[in-house]
Amino acid sequence: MSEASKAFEARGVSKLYGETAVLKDIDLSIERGEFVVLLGPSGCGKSTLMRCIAGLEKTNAGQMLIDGRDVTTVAPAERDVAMVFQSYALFPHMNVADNIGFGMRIAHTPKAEMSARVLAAAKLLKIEHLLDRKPRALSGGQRQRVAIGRAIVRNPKIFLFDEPLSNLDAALRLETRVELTKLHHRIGNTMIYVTHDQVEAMTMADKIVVMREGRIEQIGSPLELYNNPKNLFVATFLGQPPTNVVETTVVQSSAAGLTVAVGEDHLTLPATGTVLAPGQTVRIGLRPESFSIGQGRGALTVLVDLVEQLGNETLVHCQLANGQTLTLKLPGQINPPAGSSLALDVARDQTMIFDRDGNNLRYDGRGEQSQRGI
Amino acid sequence: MIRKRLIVLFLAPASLIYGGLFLLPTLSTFYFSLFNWSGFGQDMTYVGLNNYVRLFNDTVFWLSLRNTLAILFVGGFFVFGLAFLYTVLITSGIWGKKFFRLVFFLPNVVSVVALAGMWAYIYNPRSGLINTTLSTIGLDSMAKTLWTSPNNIFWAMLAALVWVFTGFFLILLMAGVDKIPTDTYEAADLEGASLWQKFWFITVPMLWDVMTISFVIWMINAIKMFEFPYAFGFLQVPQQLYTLGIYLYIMGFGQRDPIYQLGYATAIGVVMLVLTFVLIVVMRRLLRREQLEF
Amino acid sequence: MTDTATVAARRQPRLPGWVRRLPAYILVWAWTAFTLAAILYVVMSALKTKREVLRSGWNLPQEWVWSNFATAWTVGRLGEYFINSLLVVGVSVFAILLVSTPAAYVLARARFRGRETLTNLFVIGMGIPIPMLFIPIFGILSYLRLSDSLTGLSLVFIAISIPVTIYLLTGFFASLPSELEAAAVLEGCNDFQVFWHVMLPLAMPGVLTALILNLIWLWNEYQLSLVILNSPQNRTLPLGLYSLQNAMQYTGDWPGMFAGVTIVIIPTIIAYALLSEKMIAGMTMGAVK
Repeated sequence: MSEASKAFEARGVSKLYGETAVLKDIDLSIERGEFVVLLGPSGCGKSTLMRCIAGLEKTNAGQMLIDGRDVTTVAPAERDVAMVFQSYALFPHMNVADNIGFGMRIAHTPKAEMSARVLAAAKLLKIEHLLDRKPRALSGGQRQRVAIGRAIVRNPKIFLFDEPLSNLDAALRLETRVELTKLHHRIGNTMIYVTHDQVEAMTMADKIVVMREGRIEQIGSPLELYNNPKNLFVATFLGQPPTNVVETTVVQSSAAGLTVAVGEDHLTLPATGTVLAPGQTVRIGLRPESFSIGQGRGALTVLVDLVEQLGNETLVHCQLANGQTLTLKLPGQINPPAGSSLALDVARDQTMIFDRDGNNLRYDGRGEQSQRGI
Repeated sequence: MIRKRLIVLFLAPASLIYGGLFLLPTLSTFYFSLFNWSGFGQDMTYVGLNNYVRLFNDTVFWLSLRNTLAILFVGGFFVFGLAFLYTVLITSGIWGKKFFRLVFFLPNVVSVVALAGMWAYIYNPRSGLINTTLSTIGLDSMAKTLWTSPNNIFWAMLAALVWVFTGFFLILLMAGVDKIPTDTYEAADLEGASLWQKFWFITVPMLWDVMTISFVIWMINAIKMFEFPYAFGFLQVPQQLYTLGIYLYIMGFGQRDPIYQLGYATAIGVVMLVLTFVLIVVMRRLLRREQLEF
Repeated sequence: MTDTATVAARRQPRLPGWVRRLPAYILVWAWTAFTLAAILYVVMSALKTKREVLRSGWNLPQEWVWSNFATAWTVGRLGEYFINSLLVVGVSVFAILLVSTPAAYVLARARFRGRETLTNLFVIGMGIPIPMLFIPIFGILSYLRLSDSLTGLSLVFIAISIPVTIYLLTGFFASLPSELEAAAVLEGCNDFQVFWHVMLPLAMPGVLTALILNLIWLWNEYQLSLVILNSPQNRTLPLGLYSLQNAMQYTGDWPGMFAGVTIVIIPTIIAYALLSEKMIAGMTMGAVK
C-alpha cells in the first residue's frame, strides 16, 4: 500500500458524444476507503464519468487508474468495480439469491462457496429471508438492498452508486442514506456516489466533486465547499434554500475592508485581497442563515413578502429597496406581517464576493491544494 | 459492447433465408416480367416492356385492378367505419367488453377457407342463413335474392371480407384507446362533452398513430388480397371476383387448365408491389402529424 | 359558481346508465349474434342429412347425422392433413424464432454501421405482396428439388415470417432497459452471455407472442401451399379443406362440407378461447406501442 497508488485516478479524461464533449479534461484522485460524491445538475457529466469509471463507456482521451493499474481500456468486469444502478437493474427473471450470485455463476464459482457468500451478503443487509423472492415481489427499499447486495458480494475495489436513492420515497431515502453511510464505515471500501441532491452529498461524502458542463468545478469536503466555494455556481448549488446573490455597487475598497451599496444601505465586508474600483458592480453571496433581525437600525432594510413557517425555523421571503429578492432562514418561530419592513444584521465573515466571471474573491485555495497533495 | 463476430453470427441465418427466399425472389420478378416465359423449364424470350403494354390493354387486368381498388377503398371505408363505431361502442363502458372483443376478432384466427365455405352457405339462395332468416321473419320477396349472382357476387364477397377485417382493426383501435389515459376523458366529462365530442376531440387525435399504422396494414392486405375471394369462388373463380393476386395466380398456374404465362404473371406482381409502395408513401404524407406524448 | 351550476344542470336530466347504453348494447349484440349464429348454423347443418339441409333452415336436425364427420374425415383425409399441418407449422415456427430472435436482438441493441438499413430491409418485407412470390418461389423450389414437398413449404414459411417476427421482436428488445445490460456486463458477462442469461429470458413474453402470432398465421396459410404443394398426400389442413369443399360443393354435399369446416374450426376456436388474450396482444403488439 504505497502512498502513490490511489484507489482511483483520472488524468485528463475526456469523452465525446459525436461532436459534443460531455467530459472535458477531468483530473480526479480518490484515496482508499474514501466516500466520494459526484455532484451536479442533470447533464453535468457526473453519470457519464461514473460509467467511464465502470468501463461501460469508452473515453476519448486521458487515462484512468484503479489501485495504480491503468484500466483505461480494460473490460468492465475486469476493473474490480461494482455498480448500483438508479433503477437497481435487478434481473427480473431471477430470484434474489440468483441476482446476488449472478456474477459468481458467470465466473463458475463452486456452488457451496457461492451460496455462502450470497448468504453472508444478505445477512449484512438483513435480506436473508427474501432470497427466494423475485424482484417484483419486493418493495422499493428491498430491491435497493438486493442491488447493494449484488455489489457487496463481489467485494470490489470500488463501489459505484448511480443516484441509488432517487427512486425511494422521502422517509425511506433518509433511512437508507444513514444505512449506506454506516455500511461504508463497516466495510470500508472506496465508494463513488453520483447524485444531484446536495443534501445527500453533504451528509454522506468524505469528499464532494462538484461538476458542471463536463468539468470539475471544485473538489473538497462538504464543509470546505460550503464555507469556501470557489465560485458562484458552487456557492448557489450547495445550501438550501440557495445562497442569495445580490448585485451591489462598490463604494470603497481597501486592504482594510470593502464597502458596498445595496440600494440605500451600505454594507461593510472584510477585505478581499483584490482592490476593487469604486462604482464597480459586484455580486455578493449571502447565505439565508447569515441574517439576523437587527437591534436598532441594522445593516439592511427589507420588505417582507411572504413567510413560510417550518416550525423550528422560519423562511422569510423579502425584497430589498431596489426590488432584488432575499430569502432569510431565521431560527425559531417569528411572524412578521407581509408588507412590514425588517432591519437585518448580516454575519459579515460568511459573505462571499463574486467578480464578473463568478469567481469568489474570498476563495482560499490553500485547502484544496493540500488536498490534492501535488 | 456486442462484438462483430456475434453480430454476424446472429444475423446470418435470418439474412440468408430471408434474402434468398423472399427478397431476391421479389426482385427477380422485375427481371422475369421482361420476358415471355411459358413454363418452368421452357425458354424465356426477352420482350422488353411488352408484358406491361399487354396488361394495359387487358380488360381482365383492369377488372382485377378495379376489384382490388374497390376492396381497398369501398371495403376500407366500411371496415374502418365499423371498426371505429364498434370501438366507441364497446369502450363506452358497456358490460362484457372482453367477450365482445373476442367475438369480433374470432374470424381472424379461423382458417380463411373455412370462412369462405361458411359464407358461401350464408348466401345460399335456398338454404342459406340470410334467406332462411328473411323468410322466417316474413320478408319472402327479399328472401329470393340471389346473393351470389354474377352481379352481386363481388359485393357479397366484400361484405364477408368487411366482417372478417372489422374485427382485426377493432382490436388495434381498442388497444390504442386503452392506452389513452382515462383522466383525459374524465377532464372532458367535467367539461360536459358528449360521446361524439369525446370521440372527435380526444379519441381521434390521440389515436392518430394507431390509425396511420392500421391504414397501412389495411392497404398492404387489400392490395395482396388473394385467399378469401379465391376460396369464396370455389372450383372456378368467376372473373367478377378476380383481384390482382388471383389474376396473377391464374395467369401463372391456371385453375383447371394450366395457362403458364409466367412472364405476364410476374408483371402483375410488379404492379402490385409498385401500387403498394406508392400508396404507402402517399398515405404517410397525407397522415403525417406531430407525435403526441402521453 | 356558475360553472358548477351549469355542469350540474347539464348532468341532471341524464338517464340511468343502462338506458343510455341501450343503443350500444343493441348494435354490439347484433354483430355478435350474427357471428355466433353463423357458426352455429354451420355446426347445425353439419349434423343434418343432405336433403334436410336444403329445407329445414333454423330447425334442429331431425336426426343427428354424426356420420357426416366420419365421411369428411375419411374422404377429406383430414387426419393426414392435420398431421402435415402440425409438422410444417411446428417446424417452421420453431425455426422462425430460432433465426429471428438473435437477429432481432442484434438489430435492436448492437451498434454497427448499416444497422438501420438492414432493419429496414427486413421490415420492408411486410409490405411485399405474397402473390408476387408465387412464380419465383416455385422456380427456386423446383431448382432445389423441393417443390411439392413439406420441407420446401417450411422453408418458404420461415422466409415469409421473418419480417413481421423481426419487426415485433426488435421492438420488444429495444424496450428492455439498458441498465440491465450494463449490470450484466459489470457482473462479468460477455456479449453472448448477456443475451443468453439476461436479454433472452426477459424477451420471452415477446417471443411467446411472436410464436402464437406465427402459429395462427401459418396454421391458416393456404395461398403459398396452393402454389407449392401438388400431391394430395402433401396437403396441409387449409388446402385439404379447400379441396374437400370443392368436392362437396361439386356433389352438393353441404353437410359433408360443413362437417369438414367444423372439424377444422372447432380446435382453433377452443385454442382461441383459451389463449385469446395472448393472441390479441400479439396482433396489437407491433401496431400499438
